[in-house]
Amino acid sequence: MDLQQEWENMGAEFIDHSASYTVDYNSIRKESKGLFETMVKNLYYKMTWIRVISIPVLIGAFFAEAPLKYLLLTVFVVYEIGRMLSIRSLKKINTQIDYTAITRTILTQQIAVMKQVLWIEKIWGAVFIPLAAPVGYLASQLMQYKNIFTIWHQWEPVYIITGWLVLTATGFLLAGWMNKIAFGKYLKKLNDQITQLEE
Amino acid sequence: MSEQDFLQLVEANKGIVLKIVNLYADDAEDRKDLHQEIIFQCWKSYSSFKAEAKFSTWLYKISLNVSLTYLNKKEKAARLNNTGKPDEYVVPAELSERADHLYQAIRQLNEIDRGIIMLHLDGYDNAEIGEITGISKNNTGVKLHRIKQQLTNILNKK
Repeated sequence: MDLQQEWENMGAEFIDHSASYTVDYNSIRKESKGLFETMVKNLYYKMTWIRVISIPVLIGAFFAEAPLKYLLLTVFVVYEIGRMLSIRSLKKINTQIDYTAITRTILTQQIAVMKQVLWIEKIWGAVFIPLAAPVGYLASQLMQYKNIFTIWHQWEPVYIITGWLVLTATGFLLAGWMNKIAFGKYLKKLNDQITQLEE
Repeated sequence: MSEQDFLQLVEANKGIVLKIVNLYADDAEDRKDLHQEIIFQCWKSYSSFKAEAKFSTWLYKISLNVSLTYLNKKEKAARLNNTGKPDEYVVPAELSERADHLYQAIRQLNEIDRGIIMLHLDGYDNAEIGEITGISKNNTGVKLHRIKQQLTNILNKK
Protein backbone atom coordinates (compact mmCIF):
# COMPACT_ATOMS: atom_id res chain seq x y z
CA MET A 1 0.00 0.00 0.00
CA ASP A 2 1.39 3.39 -0.99
CA LEU A 3 0.75 5.40 2.17
CA GLN A 4 1.47 8.74 0.52
CA GLN A 5 -0.92 8.08 -2.35
CA GLU A 6 -3.66 6.85 -0.02
CA TRP A 7 -3.23 9.94 2.14
CA GLU A 8 -3.62 12.25 -0.84
CA ASN A 9 -6.70 10.35 -2.00
CA MET A 10 -8.26 10.64 1.44
CA GLY A 11 -7.50 14.37 1.56
CA ALA A 12 -9.14 14.81 -1.85
CA GLU A 13 -12.24 12.96 -0.63
CA PHE A 14 -12.50 15.31 2.35
CA ILE A 15 -12.36 18.31 0.03
CA ASP A 16 -14.93 16.79 -2.37
CA HIS A 17 -17.42 16.49 0.50
CA SER A 18 -16.70 19.73 2.30
CA ALA A 19 -19.82 21.65 1.28
CA SER A 20 -21.13 21.77 4.86
CA TYR A 21 -17.99 23.50 6.18
CA THR A 22 -18.33 27.20 5.58
CA VAL A 23 -15.60 29.80 5.89
CA ASP A 24 -17.21 33.22 5.77
CA TYR A 25 -17.47 36.49 7.68
CA ASN A 26 -19.80 34.90 10.24
CA SER A 27 -17.34 32.16 11.10
CA ILE A 28 -14.72 34.66 12.23
CA ARG A 29 -17.14 36.65 14.35
CA LYS A 30 -18.53 33.83 16.49
CA GLU A 31 -17.31 33.23 20.03
CA SER A 32 -14.84 30.55 21.04
CA LYS A 33 -16.36 27.33 22.39
CA GLY A 34 -13.08 26.00 23.77
CA LEU A 35 -13.18 24.62 27.30
CA PHE A 36 -10.39 26.88 28.52
CA GLU A 37 -11.99 30.08 27.20
CA THR A 38 -15.34 28.97 28.66
CA MET A 39 -13.73 28.31 32.05
CA VAL A 40 -12.18 31.79 32.25
CA LYS A 41 -15.43 33.39 31.08
CA ASN A 42 -17.39 31.47 33.73
CA LEU A 43 -15.08 32.65 36.47
CA TYR A 44 -15.72 36.26 35.46
CA TYR A 45 -19.46 35.50 35.56
CA LYS A 46 -19.01 34.18 39.10
CA MET A 47 -17.36 37.45 40.08
CA THR A 48 -20.43 39.26 38.75
CA TRP A 49 -22.63 36.97 40.87
CA ILE A 50 -20.63 37.84 43.97
CA ARG A 51 -21.60 41.46 43.30
CA VAL A 52 -25.24 40.41 42.87
CA ILE A 53 -25.07 38.73 46.30
CA SER A 54 -23.12 41.46 48.08
CA ILE A 55 -25.27 44.43 46.99
CA PRO A 56 -28.43 43.20 48.83
CA VAL A 57 -26.22 42.62 51.89
CA LEU A 58 -25.15 46.28 51.71
CA ILE A 59 -28.72 47.45 51.25
CA GLY A 60 -29.73 45.29 54.23
CA ALA A 61 -26.96 46.95 56.30
CA PHE A 62 -28.47 50.40 55.67
CA PHE A 63 -31.79 49.35 57.11
CA ALA A 64 -30.55 47.16 59.95
CA GLU A 65 -29.74 48.29 63.46
CA ALA A 66 -26.40 47.79 65.16
CA PRO A 67 -24.83 45.24 65.69
CA LEU A 68 -26.50 43.48 62.71
CA LYS A 69 -25.61 46.54 60.62
CA TYR A 70 -21.88 46.04 61.37
CA LEU A 71 -22.07 42.33 60.64
CA LEU A 72 -23.66 42.94 57.24
CA LEU A 73 -21.19 45.71 56.43
CA THR A 74 -18.31 43.40 57.35
CA VAL A 75 -19.71 40.65 55.10
CA PHE A 76 -20.07 43.15 52.25
CA VAL A 77 -16.50 44.40 52.68
CA VAL A 78 -15.06 40.85 52.89
CA TYR A 79 -16.95 39.75 49.76
CA GLU A 80 -15.88 42.83 47.84
CA ILE A 81 -12.23 42.51 48.90
CA GLY A 82 -12.31 38.82 47.93
CA ARG A 83 -13.87 39.70 44.60
CA MET A 84 -11.36 42.46 43.93
CA LEU A 85 -8.39 40.22 44.80
CA SER A 86 -9.72 37.42 42.59
CA ILE A 87 -10.21 39.72 39.60
CA ARG A 88 -6.73 41.15 40.17
CA SER A 89 -5.26 37.63 40.25
CA LEU A 90 -7.21 36.68 37.14
CA LYS A 91 -5.98 39.73 35.28
CA LYS A 92 -2.38 38.87 36.16
CA ILE A 93 -2.77 35.45 34.55
CA ASN A 94 -2.21 35.44 30.82
CA THR A 95 -5.39 33.72 29.70
CA GLN A 96 -4.81 34.33 26.00
CA ILE A 97 -3.54 31.16 24.39
CA ASP A 98 -1.06 31.78 21.62
CA TYR A 99 -1.92 28.98 19.21
CA THR A 100 0.98 29.99 16.95
CA ALA A 101 3.45 28.82 19.60
CA ILE A 102 4.95 25.34 19.51
CA THR A 103 2.68 22.53 20.71
CA ARG A 104 4.74 21.68 23.78
CA THR A 105 4.66 25.32 24.97
CA ILE A 106 0.90 25.58 24.50
CA LEU A 107 0.21 22.38 26.43
CA THR A 108 2.52 23.37 29.29
CA GLN A 109 1.20 26.93 29.44
CA GLN A 110 -2.41 25.80 29.36
CA ILE A 111 -1.91 23.34 32.23
CA ALA A 112 -0.17 26.02 34.32
CA VAL A 113 -2.85 28.65 33.66
CA MET A 114 -5.70 26.23 34.32
CA LYS A 115 -4.16 25.26 37.65
CA GLN A 116 -3.89 28.95 38.61
CA VAL A 117 -7.52 29.62 37.67
CA LEU A 118 -8.71 26.51 39.50
CA TRP A 119 -6.74 27.59 42.57
CA ILE A 120 -8.71 30.86 42.66
CA GLU A 121 -11.91 28.80 42.46
CA LYS A 122 -10.71 26.57 45.29
CA ILE A 123 -9.94 29.55 47.53
CA TRP A 124 -13.47 30.87 46.93
CA GLY A 125 -14.82 27.50 48.02
CA ALA A 126 -12.61 27.45 51.11
CA VAL A 127 -13.41 31.00 52.23
CA PHE A 128 -16.97 31.68 51.23
CA ILE A 129 -18.78 28.42 51.92
CA PRO A 130 -17.64 28.39 55.60
CA LEU A 131 -18.36 32.10 55.87
CA ALA A 132 -21.88 32.07 54.46
CA ALA A 133 -23.51 29.58 56.86
CA PRO A 134 -22.23 30.98 60.22
CA VAL A 135 -22.84 34.56 59.11
CA GLY A 136 -26.39 33.69 58.06
CA TYR A 137 -27.03 32.02 61.41
CA LEU A 138 -25.45 34.89 63.36
CA ALA A 139 -27.54 37.43 61.44
CA SER A 140 -30.77 35.57 62.28
CA GLN A 141 -29.74 35.42 65.96
CA LEU A 142 -28.93 39.15 65.96
CA MET A 143 -32.34 39.95 64.58
CA GLN A 144 -33.82 38.10 67.54
CA TYR A 145 -31.51 39.13 70.44
CA LYS A 146 -30.05 42.44 69.14
CA ASN A 147 -26.92 41.85 71.23
CA ILE A 148 -23.80 39.96 70.24
CA PHE A 149 -22.81 39.21 73.87
CA THR A 150 -26.13 37.55 74.63
CA ILE A 151 -25.63 35.27 71.65
CA TRP A 152 -21.99 34.64 72.54
CA HIS A 153 -22.91 33.48 76.02
CA GLN A 154 -25.45 31.04 74.60
CA TRP A 155 -22.89 29.38 72.33
CA GLU A 156 -20.32 26.80 73.28
CA PRO A 157 -16.94 27.91 71.85
CA VAL A 158 -15.85 24.30 71.28
CA TYR A 159 -18.89 23.62 69.10
CA ILE A 160 -18.41 26.88 67.23
CA ILE A 161 -14.76 26.20 66.43
CA THR A 162 -15.43 22.56 65.55
CA GLY A 163 -18.34 23.54 63.32
CA TRP A 164 -16.28 26.20 61.64
CA LEU A 165 -13.37 23.85 61.02
CA VAL A 166 -15.67 21.19 59.58
CA LEU A 167 -17.25 23.75 57.25
CA THR A 168 -13.84 25.08 56.14
CA ALA A 169 -12.52 21.59 55.42
CA THR A 170 -15.77 20.66 53.64
CA GLY A 171 -15.63 23.82 51.52
CA PHE A 172 -12.02 23.21 50.57
CA LEU A 173 -12.59 19.53 49.74
CA LEU A 174 -15.83 20.25 47.90
CA ALA A 175 -14.19 22.93 45.73
CA GLY A 176 -11.26 20.60 44.95
CA TRP A 177 -13.59 17.71 44.19
CA MET A 178 -15.75 19.82 41.88
CA ASN A 179 -12.68 21.10 40.06
CA LYS A 180 -11.50 17.53 39.64
CA ILE A 181 -14.83 16.40 38.22
CA ALA A 182 -15.05 19.38 35.88
CA PHE A 183 -11.45 19.68 34.72
CA GLY A 184 -9.49 16.62 35.93
CA LYS A 185 -9.93 14.67 32.70
CA TYR A 186 -9.05 17.67 30.57
CA LEU A 187 -5.86 18.26 32.56
CA LYS A 188 -5.07 14.56 32.23
CA LYS A 189 -5.56 14.78 28.47
CA LEU A 190 -3.09 17.68 28.25
CA ASN A 191 -0.59 15.90 30.51
CA ASP A 192 -0.91 12.71 28.43
CA GLN A 193 -0.13 14.70 25.30
CA ILE A 194 3.04 16.10 26.88
CA THR A 195 4.04 12.53 27.75
CA GLN A 196 3.30 11.47 24.16
CA LEU A 197 5.57 14.26 22.91
CA GLU A 198 8.38 13.02 25.15
CA GLU A 199 8.01 9.29 24.48
CA MET B 1 -4.45 42.39 5.58
CA SER B 2 -8.21 42.33 5.32
CA GLU B 3 -10.84 39.80 6.34
CA GLN B 4 -11.35 39.01 2.69
CA ASP B 5 -7.65 38.21 2.17
CA PHE B 6 -7.76 35.95 5.20
CA LEU B 7 -10.88 34.10 4.06
CA GLN B 8 -9.40 33.63 0.59
CA LEU B 9 -6.19 32.19 2.05
CA VAL B 10 -8.14 29.81 4.29
CA GLU B 11 -10.31 28.74 1.37
CA ALA B 12 -7.22 28.06 -0.75
CA ASN B 13 -5.78 25.89 2.05
CA LYS B 14 -9.00 24.33 3.28
CA GLY B 15 -7.69 20.80 2.72
CA ILE B 16 -5.39 21.19 5.73
CA VAL B 17 -8.19 22.14 8.11
CA LEU B 18 -10.52 19.47 6.73
CA LYS B 19 -7.99 16.68 7.25
CA ILE B 20 -7.24 17.78 10.81
CA VAL B 21 -10.89 18.28 11.71
CA ASN B 22 -11.86 14.85 10.36
CA LEU B 23 -9.00 13.09 12.10
CA TYR B 24 -9.46 14.72 15.50
CA ALA B 25 -13.18 15.25 15.99
CA ASP B 26 -15.47 12.29 16.62
CA ASP B 27 -18.68 13.00 14.73
CA ALA B 28 -20.26 15.39 12.23
CA GLU B 29 -21.36 17.91 14.87
CA ASP B 30 -17.97 17.95 16.58
CA ARG B 31 -16.22 18.33 13.23
CA LYS B 32 -18.22 21.44 12.46
CA ASP B 33 -17.58 22.87 15.94
CA LEU B 34 -13.86 22.17 15.70
CA HIS B 35 -13.74 23.64 12.18
CA GLN B 36 -15.42 26.78 13.47
CA GLU B 37 -13.04 27.00 16.43
CA ILE B 38 -9.98 26.66 14.15
CA ILE B 39 -11.17 29.39 11.79
CA PHE B 40 -11.98 31.65 14.76
CA GLN B 41 -8.57 31.12 16.43
CA CYS B 42 -6.74 31.59 13.11
CA TRP B 43 -8.50 34.91 12.56
CA LYS B 44 -7.68 35.96 16.13
CA SER B 45 -3.98 35.23 15.50
CA TYR B 46 -3.94 36.57 11.95
CA SER B 47 -2.43 39.93 12.95
CA SER B 48 0.71 38.05 14.09
CA PHE B 49 1.08 36.27 10.74
CA LYS B 50 4.20 37.42 8.93
CA ALA B 51 3.84 37.68 5.18
CA GLU B 52 7.25 36.09 4.58
CA ALA B 53 6.11 32.91 6.34
CA LYS B 54 4.20 30.19 4.53
CA PHE B 55 0.48 30.53 5.24
CA SER B 56 -0.10 26.77 4.96
CA THR B 57 2.48 26.03 7.69
CA TRP B 58 1.02 28.73 9.94
CA LEU B 59 -2.48 27.36 9.36
CA TYR B 60 -1.32 23.79 10.02
CA LYS B 61 0.29 24.82 13.30
CA ILE B 62 -2.79 26.60 14.63
CA SER B 63 -5.20 23.92 13.41
CA LEU B 64 -3.17 21.19 15.07
CA ASN B 65 -2.76 23.09 18.33
CA VAL B 66 -6.45 23.98 18.53
CA SER B 67 -7.42 20.37 17.81
CA LEU B 68 -5.08 18.97 20.47
CA THR B 69 -6.50 21.23 23.16
CA TYR B 70 -10.10 20.91 21.99
CA LEU B 71 -12.52 18.76 23.95
CA ASN B 72 -14.95 16.70 21.88
CA LYS B 73 -18.57 16.49 22.98
CA LYS B 74 -18.12 12.87 24.06
CA GLU B 75 -15.05 13.86 26.06
CA LYS B 76 -17.09 16.66 27.62
CA ALA B 77 -19.79 14.16 28.57
CA ALA B 78 -17.22 11.74 29.96
CA ARG B 79 -15.67 14.64 31.86
CA LEU B 80 -18.88 15.43 33.67
CA ASN B 81 -20.67 12.15 34.23
CA ASN B 82 -18.21 9.38 33.44
CA THR B 83 -20.66 7.76 31.03
CA GLY B 84 -19.26 8.83 27.68
CA LYS B 85 -16.72 6.71 25.89
CA PRO B 86 -14.16 9.12 24.46
CA ASP B 87 -12.53 6.46 22.26
CA GLU B 88 -15.61 6.04 20.11
CA TYR B 89 -15.84 7.98 16.88
CA VAL B 90 -17.95 8.03 13.72
CA VAL B 91 -16.15 7.58 10.40
CA PRO B 92 -17.11 10.35 7.94
CA ALA B 93 -19.91 8.81 5.88
CA GLU B 94 -18.60 10.11 2.57
CA LEU B 95 -15.31 8.17 2.64
CA SER B 96 -14.64 5.41 0.14
CA GLU B 97 -13.64 1.98 1.42
CA ARG B 98 -9.94 2.60 0.75
CA ALA B 99 -9.91 5.97 2.47
CA ASP B 100 -11.93 4.53 5.35
CA HIS B 101 -9.20 1.90 5.79
CA LEU B 102 -6.48 4.54 6.20
CA TYR B 103 -8.74 6.79 8.29
CA GLN B 104 -9.40 4.07 10.84
CA ALA B 105 -5.72 3.16 10.99
CA ILE B 106 -4.65 6.75 11.69
CA ARG B 107 -7.40 7.14 14.29
CA GLN B 108 -5.82 4.31 16.26
CA LEU B 109 -2.68 6.37 16.82
CA ASN B 110 -2.46 8.64 19.83
CA GLU B 111 -3.22 12.33 19.25
CA ILE B 112 0.39 13.51 19.05
CA ASP B 113 1.47 10.67 16.73
CA ARG B 114 -1.54 11.43 14.56
CA GLY B 115 -0.35 15.02 14.13
CA ILE B 116 3.22 13.97 13.38
CA ILE B 117 2.25 11.49 10.66
CA MET B 118 -0.14 14.03 9.13
CA LEU B 119 2.62 16.63 8.91
CA HIS B 120 4.99 14.06 7.44
CA LEU B 121 2.51 12.85 4.83
CA ASP B 122 1.81 16.47 3.90
CA GLY B 123 5.48 16.95 3.04
CA TYR B 124 6.98 18.54 6.16
CA ASP B 125 10.51 17.38 6.97
CA ASN B 126 11.69 16.37 10.43
CA ALA B 127 13.10 19.82 11.23
CA GLU B 128 9.81 21.52 10.31
CA ILE B 129 7.79 19.00 12.33
CA GLY B 130 10.12 19.70 15.26
CA GLU B 131 9.57 23.44 14.89
CA ILE B 132 5.81 22.99 15.05
CA THR B 133 5.62 20.46 17.86
CA GLY B 134 8.69 21.22 19.96
CA ILE B 135 10.22 17.75 19.46
CA SER B 136 13.90 17.61 18.50
CA LYS B 137 14.76 16.72 14.88
CA ASN B 138 16.34 13.41 15.90
CA ASN B 139 13.46 12.44 18.13
CA THR B 140 11.03 13.28 15.33
CA GLY B 141 12.90 10.86 13.08
CA VAL B 142 12.73 8.11 15.70
CA LYS B 143 9.07 8.78 16.34
CA LEU B 144 8.21 8.79 12.64
CA HIS B 145 9.92 5.45 12.12
CA ARG B 146 7.89 3.95 14.99
CA ILE B 147 4.61 5.54 13.84
CA LYS B 148 5.05 4.27 10.27
CA GLN B 149 5.74 0.79 11.56
CA GLN B 150 2.68 0.95 13.78
CA LEU B 151 0.56 2.21 10.91
CA THR B 152 1.82 -0.50 8.54
CA ASN B 153 1.03 -3.15 11.14
CA ILE B 154 -2.51 -1.85 11.60
CA LEU B 155 -3.09 -1.63 7.85
CA ASN B 156 -1.70 -5.12 7.22
CA LYS B 157 -3.94 -6.61 9.88
CA LYS B 158 -7.05 -5.39 8.08
